[in-house]
Amino acid sequence: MGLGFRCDSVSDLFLTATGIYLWTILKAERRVGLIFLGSGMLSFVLIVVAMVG
Amino acid sequence: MVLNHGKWPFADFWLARAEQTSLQPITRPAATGDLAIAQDLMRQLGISGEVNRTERNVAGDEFSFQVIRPGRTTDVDANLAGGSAGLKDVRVNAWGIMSSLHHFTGVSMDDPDRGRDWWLTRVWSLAMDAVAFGLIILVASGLYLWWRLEKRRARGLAILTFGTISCVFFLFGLGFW
Repeated sequence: MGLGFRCDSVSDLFLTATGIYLWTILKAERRVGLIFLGSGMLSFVLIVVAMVG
Repeated sequence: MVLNHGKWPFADFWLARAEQTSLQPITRPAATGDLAIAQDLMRQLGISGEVNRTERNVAGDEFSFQVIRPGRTTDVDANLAGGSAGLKDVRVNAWGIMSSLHHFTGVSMDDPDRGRDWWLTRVWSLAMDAVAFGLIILVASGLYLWWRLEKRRARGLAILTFGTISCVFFLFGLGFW
């Protein structure tokens, strides 16, 4: 069970890191990437703050 | 990582929990259903969250329920006849909140009749569905791009095979099949 969880978290971190790396490399996609990244972070924070209260 | 390493000192959030108890006056709700009674009492007591479980005695004058939200659990023991409710409020730190976000679904496999009764649980559930959908798109588009890059096909096939074998190994090993 533990190894599975570790693989999951490592692959998620790898996906996030490579995604951010590719986004920074692709200058043409930077603006739209920034919008998606910002809106994703904002919606996550808003939902969590509302739930935690 | 917190789920996987619950014994790491900072991840053992339960030891650092804060508990608070109180007794508050209530008026007997007019509703008859368990969920409706719980929600009426929650309004009176100023609590919001997902109703986790409800219990009442045969006479119907003792009613208890649990309300959960990430990082906070409130147990309410209401004496409907006496007009009072005992509250036990448990709060955990940020690590506990992070952990509970991974479990917080509003549904239970042991109790299939229980549905999501808090609107934020529904929003959270939809967000999780969106993440799952996004991951499916990510995998599918990755497979498509890999297939289009002929030079990377052999290496990609090896990685895909290894990933599939390890996934099947865990599914069998953990007894899912």
